[in-house]
Amino acid sequence: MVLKEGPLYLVAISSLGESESQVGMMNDMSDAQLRIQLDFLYAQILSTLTLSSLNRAFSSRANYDLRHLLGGTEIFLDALADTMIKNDPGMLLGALEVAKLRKSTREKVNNALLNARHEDLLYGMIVAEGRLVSVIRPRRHSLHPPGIPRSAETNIDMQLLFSMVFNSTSFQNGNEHWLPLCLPKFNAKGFLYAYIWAEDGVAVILISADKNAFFNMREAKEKVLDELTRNGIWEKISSSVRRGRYLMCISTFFDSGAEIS
Amino acid sequence: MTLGLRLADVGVPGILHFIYKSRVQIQFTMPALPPNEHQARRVLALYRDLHAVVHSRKTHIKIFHYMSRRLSALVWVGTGFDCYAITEGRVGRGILARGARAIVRWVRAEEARVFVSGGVVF
Repeated sequence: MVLKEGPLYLVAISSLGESESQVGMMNDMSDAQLRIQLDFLYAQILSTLTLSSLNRAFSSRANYDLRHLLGGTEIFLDALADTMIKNDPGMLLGALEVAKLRKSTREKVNNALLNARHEDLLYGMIVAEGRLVSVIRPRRHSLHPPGIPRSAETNIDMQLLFSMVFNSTSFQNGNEHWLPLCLPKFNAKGFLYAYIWAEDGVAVILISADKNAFFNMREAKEKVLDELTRNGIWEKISSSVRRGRYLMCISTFFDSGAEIS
Repeated sequence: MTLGLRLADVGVPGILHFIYKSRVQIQFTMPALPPNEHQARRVLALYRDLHAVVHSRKTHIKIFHYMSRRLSALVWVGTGFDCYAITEGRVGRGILARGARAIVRWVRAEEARVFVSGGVVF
Protein backbone atom coordinates (compact mmCIF):
# COMPACT_ATOMS: atom_id res chain seq x y z
CA MET A 1 0.00 0.00 0.00
CA VAL A 2 1.47 3.31 -1.08
CA LEU A 3 0.04 6.70 -0.20
CA LYS A 4 1.25 9.84 -1.89
CA GLU A 5 0.82 13.09 0.06
CA GLY A 6 2.51 16.05 -1.57
CA PRO A 7 6.22 15.26 -1.75
CA LEU A 8 5.96 12.20 0.48
CA TYR A 9 5.38 8.56 -0.41
CA LEU A 10 4.16 6.59 2.58
CA VAL A 11 4.55 2.85 2.23
CA ALA A 12 2.89 0.23 4.38
CA ILE A 13 3.88 -3.39 4.12
CA SER A 14 1.72 -5.83 5.98
CA SER A 15 2.82 -9.35 6.70
CA LEU A 16 -0.58 -10.36 7.99
CA GLY A 17 -1.69 -12.76 5.30
CA GLU A 18 -4.85 -14.85 5.11
CA SER A 19 -3.47 -17.57 7.33
CA GLU A 20 -2.89 -15.13 10.18
CA SER A 21 -6.09 -13.18 9.79
CA GLN A 22 -8.53 -14.70 12.21
CA VAL A 23 -11.49 -13.93 10.09
CA GLY A 24 -9.94 -15.22 6.88
CA MET A 25 -11.14 -12.26 4.91
CA MET A 26 -9.90 -11.26 1.51
CA ASN A 27 -6.67 -9.34 1.88
CA ASP A 28 -7.91 -6.23 0.16
CA MET A 29 -10.43 -5.65 2.93
CA SER A 30 -7.60 -4.53 5.14
CA ASP A 31 -6.42 -1.98 2.59
CA ALA A 32 -8.66 0.59 4.24
CA GLN A 33 -6.92 -0.01 7.55
CA LEU A 34 -3.45 0.26 6.11
CA ARG A 35 -4.62 3.46 4.51
CA ILE A 36 -5.85 4.82 7.86
CA GLN A 37 -2.54 3.91 9.47
CA LEU A 38 -0.63 5.77 6.80
CA ASP A 39 -2.96 8.73 7.31
CA PHE A 40 -2.03 8.76 10.97
CA LEU A 41 1.69 8.57 10.29
CA TYR A 42 1.45 11.36 7.75
CA ALA A 43 -0.53 13.43 10.24
CA GLN A 44 2.13 12.76 12.88
CA ILE A 45 4.82 14.03 10.51
CA LEU A 46 2.74 17.11 9.77
CA SER A 47 2.21 17.53 13.46
CA THR A 48 5.92 18.10 13.86
CA LEU A 49 6.57 20.04 10.71
CA THR A 50 3.44 21.71 9.28
CA LEU A 51 2.55 21.41 5.66
CA SER A 52 4.39 24.58 4.69
CA SER A 53 7.78 23.49 5.93
CA LEU A 54 7.25 20.02 4.46
CA ASN A 55 6.60 21.43 1.00
CA ARG A 56 9.40 23.92 1.39
CA ALA A 57 11.90 21.21 2.26
CA PHE A 58 11.13 19.25 -0.87
CA SER A 59 10.59 22.10 -3.28
CA SER A 60 14.27 22.75 -3.71
CA ARG A 61 15.55 19.17 -3.35
CA ALA A 62 13.45 16.23 -4.39
CA ASN A 63 15.64 13.79 -2.48
CA TYR A 64 15.68 15.71 0.79
CA ASP A 65 16.19 13.57 3.87
CA LEU A 66 13.28 14.39 6.12
CA ARG A 67 15.01 13.03 9.18
CA HIS A 68 16.94 16.30 9.45
CA LEU A 69 13.76 18.17 10.22
CA LEU A 70 12.07 15.52 12.28
CA GLY A 71 14.78 15.81 14.91
CA GLY A 72 14.07 13.78 18.00
CA THR A 73 10.43 13.20 17.25
CA GLU A 74 10.91 9.77 15.70
CA ILE A 75 10.03 8.40 19.12
CA PHE A 76 6.49 9.63 18.56
CA LEU A 77 6.34 8.00 15.13
CA ASP A 78 7.65 4.80 16.71
CA ALA A 79 5.14 5.00 19.53
CA LEU A 80 2.36 5.58 17.04
CA ALA A 81 3.42 2.67 14.85
CA ASP A 82 3.72 0.50 17.94
CA THR A 83 0.16 1.16 19.08
CA MET A 84 -1.12 0.38 15.61
CA ILE A 85 0.70 -2.93 15.57
CA LYS A 86 -0.88 -3.74 18.90
CA ASN A 87 -4.30 -3.09 17.37
CA ASP A 88 -5.11 -0.16 19.59
CA PRO A 89 -8.88 0.35 19.27
CA GLY A 90 -8.61 4.14 19.32
CA MET A 91 -6.33 4.08 16.29
CA LEU A 92 -8.49 1.48 14.59
CA LEU A 93 -11.70 3.45 15.05
CA GLY A 94 -10.11 6.89 14.71
CA ALA A 95 -12.07 7.88 17.78
CA LEU A 96 -11.32 9.11 21.27
CA GLU A 97 -11.92 6.98 24.31
CA VAL A 98 -13.69 8.83 27.08
CA ALA A 99 -13.22 8.14 30.78
CA LYS A 100 -16.44 6.98 32.34
CA LEU A 101 -17.40 9.49 35.03
CA ARG A 102 -20.41 10.58 36.96
CA LYS A 103 -21.94 13.68 35.39
CA SER A 104 -21.33 15.70 38.55
CA THR A 105 -17.67 14.71 38.63
CA ARG A 106 -17.08 15.68 35.01
CA GLU A 107 -18.90 18.96 35.58
CA LYS A 108 -16.55 19.80 38.44
CA VAL A 109 -13.56 19.15 36.18
CA ASN A 110 -15.15 21.24 33.42
CA ASN A 111 -15.70 24.09 35.87
CA ALA A 112 -12.13 23.92 37.16
CA LEU A 113 -10.86 24.28 33.59
CA LEU A 114 -13.28 27.11 32.84
CA ASN A 115 -12.40 28.96 36.04
CA ALA A 116 -8.69 28.62 35.38
CA ARG A 117 -8.92 29.63 31.74
CA HIS A 118 -6.69 32.37 30.42
CA GLU A 119 -7.60 34.28 27.28
CA ASP A 120 -4.59 32.74 25.52
CA LEU A 121 -6.11 29.29 25.92
CA LEU A 122 -7.48 27.64 22.79
CA TYR A 123 -8.19 24.11 24.02
CA GLY A 124 -7.90 22.88 27.59
CA MET A 125 -8.19 19.27 28.55
CA ILE A 126 -7.56 16.69 31.19
CA VAL A 127 -6.78 13.19 30.00
CA ALA A 128 -6.33 10.09 32.19
CA GLU A 129 -4.40 7.15 30.71
CA GLY A 130 -5.38 8.08 27.19
CA ARG A 131 -9.06 8.54 28.11
CA LEU A 132 -10.59 11.99 27.89
CA VAL A 133 -11.87 13.36 31.18
CA SER A 134 -12.81 16.87 30.18
CA VAL A 135 -12.25 19.36 27.36
CA ILE A 136 -13.11 23.04 27.00
CA ARG A 137 -12.96 24.96 23.74
CA PRO A 138 -13.98 28.26 22.18
CA ARG A 139 -17.53 28.28 20.87
CA ARG A 140 -16.45 28.80 17.30
CA HIS A 141 -13.99 25.88 17.18
CA SER A 142 -15.44 22.41 17.00
CA LEU A 143 -13.82 19.48 18.76
CA HIS A 144 -13.34 17.69 15.47
CA PRO A 145 -12.74 20.21 12.74
CA PRO A 146 -14.13 19.17 9.37
CA GLY A 147 -11.44 17.57 7.29
CA ILE A 148 -11.14 16.10 3.85
CA PRO A 149 -13.83 13.47 3.28
CA ARG A 150 -11.80 10.36 4.10
CA SER A 151 -11.05 11.66 7.56
CA ALA A 152 -14.52 12.99 8.21
CA GLU A 153 -15.17 10.30 10.77
CA THR A 154 -11.87 10.32 12.59
CA ASN A 155 -10.40 12.40 15.34
CA ILE A 156 -6.78 12.34 14.25
CA ASP A 157 -5.61 15.55 15.92
CA MET A 158 -6.57 14.47 19.41
CA GLN A 159 -5.45 10.90 18.78
CA LEU A 160 -1.96 12.08 17.90
CA LEU A 161 -1.78 14.28 20.93
CA PHE A 162 -2.92 11.52 23.27
CA SER A 163 -0.57 9.03 21.60
CA MET A 164 2.35 11.36 22.09
CA VAL A 165 1.55 11.96 25.74
CA PHE A 166 0.64 8.42 26.76
CA ASN A 167 2.45 6.05 24.41
CA SER A 168 5.90 7.47 24.98
CA THR A 169 7.55 8.04 28.30
CA SER A 170 8.64 11.59 27.50
CA PHE A 171 5.83 13.27 29.38
CA GLN A 172 4.95 11.01 32.25
CA ASN A 173 7.36 12.47 34.75
CA GLY A 174 5.64 15.34 36.51
CA ASN A 175 7.68 17.92 34.57
CA GLU A 176 6.20 20.75 32.57
CA HIS A 177 6.54 20.71 28.80
CA TRP A 178 5.96 23.42 26.23
CA LEU A 179 6.15 22.38 22.65
CA PRO A 180 5.13 23.48 19.19
CA LEU A 181 2.58 21.23 17.65
CA CYS A 182 0.74 21.19 14.40
CA LEU A 183 -2.79 19.82 14.58
CA PRO A 184 -3.15 18.87 10.93
CA LYS A 185 -6.93 18.82 10.78
CA PHE A 186 -7.22 22.10 12.69
CA ASN A 187 -4.67 23.91 10.57
CA ALA A 188 -2.06 22.03 8.60
CA LYS A 189 -0.08 25.16 7.86
CA GLY A 190 0.63 26.55 11.28
CA PHE A 191 1.82 25.65 14.73
CA LEU A 192 -0.01 25.73 18.00
CA TYR A 193 1.72 25.38 21.34
CA ALA A 194 0.93 22.75 23.93
CA TYR A 195 1.56 22.97 27.65
CA ILE A 196 1.71 19.41 28.93
CA TRP A 197 2.02 18.27 32.50
CA ALA A 198 1.32 14.71 33.61
CA GLU A 199 1.59 12.83 36.85
CA ASP A 200 0.48 9.29 37.73
CA GLY A 201 -1.14 8.83 34.36
CA VAL A 202 -3.27 11.99 34.48
CA ALA A 203 -2.35 14.82 32.11
CA VAL A 204 -3.30 18.46 31.90
CA ILE A 205 -2.97 19.64 28.29
CA LEU A 206 -3.42 23.31 27.50
CA ILE A 207 -3.15 24.52 23.93
CA SER A 208 -2.51 28.08 22.84
CA ALA A 209 -1.94 29.82 19.54
CA ASP A 210 0.54 32.14 21.25
CA LYS A 211 4.10 30.85 21.53
CA ASN A 212 4.77 33.16 24.45
CA ALA A 213 1.88 31.86 26.53
CA PHE A 214 3.85 29.35 28.61
CA PHE A 215 3.64 31.23 31.90
CA ASN A 216 -0.06 31.92 31.45
CA MET A 217 -0.66 28.24 30.72
CA ARG A 218 1.39 27.20 33.71
CA GLU A 219 -0.65 29.48 35.93
CA ALA A 220 -3.86 28.04 34.48
CA LYS A 221 -2.65 24.53 35.26
CA GLU A 222 -1.83 25.54 38.82
CA LYS A 223 -5.33 26.94 39.25
CA VAL A 224 -6.96 23.80 37.84
CA LEU A 225 -4.88 21.54 40.05
CA ASP A 226 -5.59 23.72 43.04
CA GLU A 227 -9.35 23.62 42.60
CA LEU A 228 -9.46 19.89 41.86
CA THR A 229 -7.24 19.08 44.81
CA ARG A 230 -9.33 21.14 47.15
CA ASN A 231 -12.61 19.53 46.10
CA GLY A 232 -11.11 16.03 46.10
CA ILE A 233 -11.80 15.40 42.43
CA TRP A 234 -8.12 15.07 41.44
CA GLU A 235 -7.71 12.23 43.90
CA LYS A 236 -10.87 10.59 42.56
CA ILE A 237 -9.51 10.71 39.04
CA SER A 238 -6.08 9.41 40.07
CA SER A 239 -7.57 6.49 41.95
CA SER A 240 -9.86 5.61 39.06
CA VAL A 241 -6.81 5.57 36.79
CA ARG A 242 -5.21 3.12 39.17
CA ARG A 243 -8.36 0.96 38.99
CA GLY A 244 -8.37 1.01 35.20
CA ARG A 245 -11.31 0.78 32.86
CA TYR A 246 -14.74 -0.27 34.06
CA LEU A 247 -15.02 -3.99 34.54
CA MET A 248 -16.93 -6.57 32.62
CA CYS A 249 -18.24 -9.46 34.59
CA ILE A 250 -17.79 -12.69 32.66
CA SER A 251 -20.64 -15.00 33.40
CA THR A 252 -21.56 -18.16 31.61
CA PHE A 253 -24.41 -18.73 29.23
CA PHE A 254 -25.92 -21.41 31.41
CA ASP A 255 -27.49 -18.78 33.66
CA SER A 256 -29.72 -17.55 30.90
CA GLY A 257 -30.45 -21.03 29.62
CA ALA A 258 -29.03 -20.21 26.23
CA GLU A 259 -27.48 -22.87 24.09
CA ILE A 260 -24.07 -22.78 22.61
CA SER A 261 -24.13 -24.40 19.19
CA MET B 1 -16.55 6.95 41.29
CA THR B 2 -18.41 4.74 38.91
CA LEU B 3 -15.52 3.21 37.02
CA GLY B 4 -15.89 -0.07 38.84
CA LEU B 5 -19.39 -0.67 37.43
CA ARG B 6 -19.79 -4.30 36.52
CA LEU B 7 -21.44 -5.00 33.24
CA ALA B 8 -23.32 -7.94 34.69
CA ASP B 9 -25.59 -5.35 36.31
CA VAL B 10 -26.70 -4.44 32.83
CA GLY B 11 -27.70 -7.92 31.89
CA VAL B 12 -25.33 -8.89 29.10
CA PRO B 13 -24.44 -12.39 30.18
CA GLY B 14 -21.65 -14.08 28.33
CA ILE B 15 -20.26 -11.07 26.53
CA LEU B 16 -16.50 -11.19 26.87
CA HIS B 17 -15.83 -7.67 25.64
CA PHE B 18 -17.43 -4.95 23.57
CA ILE B 19 -16.70 -1.66 21.86
CA TYR B 20 -19.39 0.94 21.26
CA LYS B 21 -18.38 3.80 18.98
CA SER B 22 -20.54 6.87 18.60
CA ARG B 23 -20.05 7.99 15.02
CA VAL B 24 -21.68 11.31 15.92
CA GLN B 25 -19.28 12.20 18.74
CA ILE B 26 -16.35 10.29 17.22
CA GLN B 27 -15.80 8.74 20.63
CA PHE B 28 -15.95 5.19 21.90
CA THR B 29 -16.31 3.33 25.14
CA MET B 30 -15.21 -0.14 26.18
CA PRO B 31 -14.64 -2.07 29.40
CA ALA B 32 -11.37 -3.49 30.68
CA LEU B 33 -9.82 -6.11 28.41
CA PRO B 34 -9.82 -9.76 29.53
CA PRO B 35 -7.13 -10.24 32.18
CA ASN B 36 -5.57 -13.09 30.19
CA GLU B 37 -3.00 -11.41 27.95
CA HIS B 38 -3.30 -13.93 25.11
CA GLN B 39 -7.04 -13.63 25.06
CA ALA B 40 -6.79 -9.84 25.16
CA ARG B 41 -4.49 -9.90 22.12
CA ARG B 42 -6.87 -12.19 20.28
CA VAL B 43 -9.77 -9.88 21.09
CA LEU B 44 -7.92 -6.82 19.77
CA ALA B 45 -6.84 -8.65 16.62
CA LEU B 46 -10.45 -9.73 16.09
CA TYR B 47 -11.66 -6.13 16.33
CA ARG B 48 -9.14 -5.23 13.64
CA ASP B 49 -10.49 -7.91 11.31
CA LEU B 50 -14.13 -7.14 12.08
CA HIS B 51 -13.52 -3.45 11.43
CA ALA B 52 -12.02 -4.32 8.06
CA VAL B 53 -15.15 -6.24 7.10
CA VAL B 54 -17.66 -3.51 7.81
CA HIS B 55 -15.52 -0.73 6.40
CA SER B 56 -14.62 -2.42 3.18
CA ARG B 57 -15.36 -0.15 0.28
CA LYS B 58 -16.77 -3.04 -1.69
CA THR B 59 -19.72 -3.82 0.53
CA HIS B 60 -22.06 -2.03 2.90
CA ILE B 61 -22.45 -4.62 5.60
CA LYS B 62 -24.64 -3.52 8.50
CA ILE B 63 -24.62 -6.67 10.59
CA PHE B 64 -21.84 -9.20 10.57
CA HIS B 65 -21.68 -12.41 12.56
CA TYR B 66 -18.41 -14.21 13.11
CA MET B 67 -18.01 -17.62 14.71
CA SER B 68 -14.96 -19.71 15.51
CA ARG B 69 -13.86 -22.25 18.08
CA ARG B 70 -12.36 -19.65 20.40
CA LEU B 71 -14.31 -16.46 19.84
CA SER B 72 -17.54 -15.36 18.25
CA ALA B 73 -18.59 -11.83 17.48
CA LEU B 74 -21.26 -9.55 16.13
CA VAL B 75 -20.73 -6.18 14.52
CA TRP B 76 -23.75 -3.94 14.25
CA VAL B 77 -23.53 -0.75 12.22
CA GLY B 78 -26.51 1.16 13.55
CA THR B 79 -27.80 4.71 13.21
CA GLY B 80 -25.02 6.88 14.56
CA PHE B 81 -23.07 4.05 16.17
CA ASP B 82 -20.98 0.94 15.59
CA CYS B 83 -21.26 -1.82 18.16
CA TYR B 84 -18.84 -4.74 18.37
CA ALA B 85 -19.59 -7.60 20.79
CA ILE B 86 -17.31 -10.58 21.41
CA THR B 87 -18.02 -13.81 23.28
CA GLU B 88 -16.07 -16.92 24.05
CA GLY B 89 -16.67 -20.09 22.08
CA ARG B 90 -19.00 -20.74 19.19
CA VAL B 91 -22.07 -18.61 19.73
CA GLY B 92 -25.01 -18.14 17.40
CA ARG B 93 -26.12 -14.91 15.87
CA GLY B 94 -29.36 -14.64 17.85
CA ILE B 95 -27.65 -14.74 21.22
CA LEU B 96 -25.00 -12.27 20.14
CA ALA B 97 -27.66 -9.96 18.73
CA ARG B 98 -29.41 -9.99 22.11
CA GLY B 99 -26.12 -9.14 23.78
CA ALA B 100 -25.45 -6.32 21.33
CA ARG B 101 -28.91 -4.86 21.88
CA ALA B 102 -28.35 -4.94 25.63
CA ILE B 103 -25.03 -3.17 25.18
CA VAL B 104 -26.62 -0.45 23.06
CA ARG B 105 -29.37 0.00 25.66
CA TRP B 106 -26.80 0.25 28.41
CA VAL B 107 -24.70 2.81 26.57
CA ARG B 108 -27.77 4.90 25.78
CA ALA B 109 -28.66 4.89 29.47
CA GLU B 110 -25.09 5.83 30.42
CA GLU B 111 -24.57 8.21 27.53
CA ALA B 112 -23.84 11.26 29.67
CA ARG B 113 -21.19 9.31 31.58
CA VAL B 114 -19.38 7.61 28.73
CA PHE B 115 -19.29 10.37 26.14
CA VAL B 116 -18.28 14.00 26.17
CA SER B 117 -20.81 15.97 24.19
CA GLY B 118 -18.58 18.14 22.03
CA GLY B 119 -16.78 19.70 24.97
CA VAL B 120 -17.70 22.63 27.15
CA VAL B 121 -17.58 25.97 25.36
CA PHE B 122 -16.46 29.40 26.45
